[in-house]
Amino acid sequence: MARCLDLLKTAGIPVYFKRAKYNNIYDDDLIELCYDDTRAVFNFHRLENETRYFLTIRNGNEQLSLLHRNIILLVNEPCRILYQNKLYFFEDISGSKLQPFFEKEYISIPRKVEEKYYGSFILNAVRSQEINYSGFEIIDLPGRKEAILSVGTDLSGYPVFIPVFKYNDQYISAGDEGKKIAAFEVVNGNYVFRRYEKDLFWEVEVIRALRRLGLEGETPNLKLPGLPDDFSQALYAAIAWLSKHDKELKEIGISVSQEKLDHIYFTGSQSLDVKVNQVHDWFDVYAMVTFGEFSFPFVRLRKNILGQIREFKLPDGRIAILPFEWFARYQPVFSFGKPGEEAIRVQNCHFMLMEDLVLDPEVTVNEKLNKLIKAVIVPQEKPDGLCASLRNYQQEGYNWMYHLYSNNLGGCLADDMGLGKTIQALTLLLKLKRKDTSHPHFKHRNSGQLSLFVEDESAVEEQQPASLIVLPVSLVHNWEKEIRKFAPSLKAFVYSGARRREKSDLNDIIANFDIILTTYGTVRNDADDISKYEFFYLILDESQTIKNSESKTYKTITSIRSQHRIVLTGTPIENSLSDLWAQMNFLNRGFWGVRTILNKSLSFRLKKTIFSRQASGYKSLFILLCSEGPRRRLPKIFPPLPRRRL
Amino acid sequence: MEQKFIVAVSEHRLFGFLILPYFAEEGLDGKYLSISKRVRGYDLADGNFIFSSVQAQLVRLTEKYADENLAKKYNKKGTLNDFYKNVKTEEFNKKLVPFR
Repeated sequence: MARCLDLLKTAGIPVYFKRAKYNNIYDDDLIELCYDDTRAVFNFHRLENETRYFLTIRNGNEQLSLLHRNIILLVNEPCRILYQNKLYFFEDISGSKLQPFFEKEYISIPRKVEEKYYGSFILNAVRSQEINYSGFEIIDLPGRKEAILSVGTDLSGYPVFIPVFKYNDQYISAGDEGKKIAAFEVVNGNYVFRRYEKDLFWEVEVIRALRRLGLEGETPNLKLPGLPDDFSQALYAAIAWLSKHDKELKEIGISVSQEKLDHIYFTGSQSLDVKVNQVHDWFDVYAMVTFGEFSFPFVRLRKNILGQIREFKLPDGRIAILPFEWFARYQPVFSFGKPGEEAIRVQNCHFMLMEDLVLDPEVTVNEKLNKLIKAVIVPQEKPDGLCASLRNYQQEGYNWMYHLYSNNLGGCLADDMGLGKTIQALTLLLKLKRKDTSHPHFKHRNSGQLSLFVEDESAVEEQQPASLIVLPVSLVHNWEKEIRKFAPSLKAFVYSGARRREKSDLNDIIANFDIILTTYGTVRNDADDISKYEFFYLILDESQTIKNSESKTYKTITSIRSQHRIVLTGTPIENSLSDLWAQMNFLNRGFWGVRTILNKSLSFRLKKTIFSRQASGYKSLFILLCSEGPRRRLPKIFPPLPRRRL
Repeated sequence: MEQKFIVAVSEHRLFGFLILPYFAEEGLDGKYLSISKRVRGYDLADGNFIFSSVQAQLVRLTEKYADENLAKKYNKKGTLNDFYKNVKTEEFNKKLVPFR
């Protein structure tokens, strides 16, 4: 009916009073609609033994008495009454409050329940109604206002933002329709109300500002859209939002309260300042993280970053939430780097990580990286002395191995069995055959670690030692045969069997031969002797033999020093990715990090699941270093023969 | 005679005072209006009277608290007489009248 009456306000439809059982309506029955300025005034008078409460109705300057006036209560909420052919519209009072005064002049509140009545009903009236009073005190005060954004959780445990307005010491939730705020207290037996005006315009502006920053929903509970389903992740996202908008919230004058949460989270501004110093064989990554007034080396967050733990306890007990992007960007640095007191040391071979870490133009790593990955593999001429013509794919393999040699990188030739890995390797060795073999001693490098950043290569080239080829016993004869057949100019020595040292010592062999063929077993037995020398190339055939990085063979092989390394295998991965890790770690030590993190890092890099940026870079280099990337398969190169008919 | 659309505050024997729409005709000397019938929902469609949008809206709203519709809310299968007979005056006063 309230909606009917509201429609009548603008419709211009005449409204009459129809008496029961009468069908005729006269002009006297026309009802006047009084829309505006009808209000109820609450009267409270505290007397000696009681408090009297009654209402007076005012329409403009006219005062209406409710008592015994044959008033018809048409609608209770919002109150609409019919009184002497006038229909009165009230906005902020219900009909049930008026009804008692149709029959009685006032309501008497006895002394014994007075205090409770003042603290509830009268307090509400003081807040929201026009009142006349005597016998107690109402003090109007200027309001000191403060906006608070309280972070809590809803019934389902999801984070919500609750705007609260504080006027002096009174907290009012957003959406409260009262015009004033009041507090009741008893002072020496006297009843006192302290009342403040609400700044409704300011409250609306605060809510609008919060919506502009991204909060949605209806007050009192605002929500952040697009939160993850997981409760803890949703809470982290909510805290991250607070951190992100810390400055704006302060500018608007909104403080943040976390009293409804289990912990107090850091919501101030946070930053990470990263500097990279390039030293000879490594990068020192200096990073300082700042959470508000706390500043400390980023290396202290190592456990968090590696363990994907987003919460970090600050010295004052607050919990900082690490930004999600830090995990994506810096986990590889911690995985591959060695943490120090203040810096993380990252080997040169991980230079790709630097690309994502800093965009500092002083660091020339990016140029080197791009040069290496994007460089076109230059076709090489067939070396003199090669008694064979290479097939196209063999020429490509040879070109590729020479390209790696030029860039001081090790490589894995993973062609299928029968495609000629041996001849490709021999072609490379023939191409790089030393000019002068008359040097009896070699200048040993300080480190066996290959470097991408060696500037002075001439010193190494001056004294080229023999190349060591390690292979299974069963292949020794085959290699000998192929060397004689395809590269007879290469002088080869078989360093294997019980009589291997009868003819001459190892030093002479290295000085006088181009190639030393040996077996994995021999290397294991003569590890102490062999590791004294440095070889030009160290080539492993059937390199999956060193797939177990805990084995003695692996440890011995990796202890042999050489200027360049190549592995040949038709099955680089037999069981798991750790097989590949062992071979790649032999080729370019440290490139793939520590094996224990292999399952986390190598697999996701290759599958491009989490850290896509790193993945793309690593994949490019992986393809470059290992022909497993664009691996040549036998059926692709030689289509299968038709089946024989019997 | 021309029919007029009026609204009247009218007393229902059970529900108290209601706002209801009526068709009325002017009396012979023009000094009074004679109510010819209460306007119901079905009158909107019969084409005998052209309703303004506000009038039509009023009819639809008042139809919601017509006896038949309230009776249907009480018991979908029961008749209007069942409704009057089974629901006591106290129940009307307690559960219906305050929410008009």
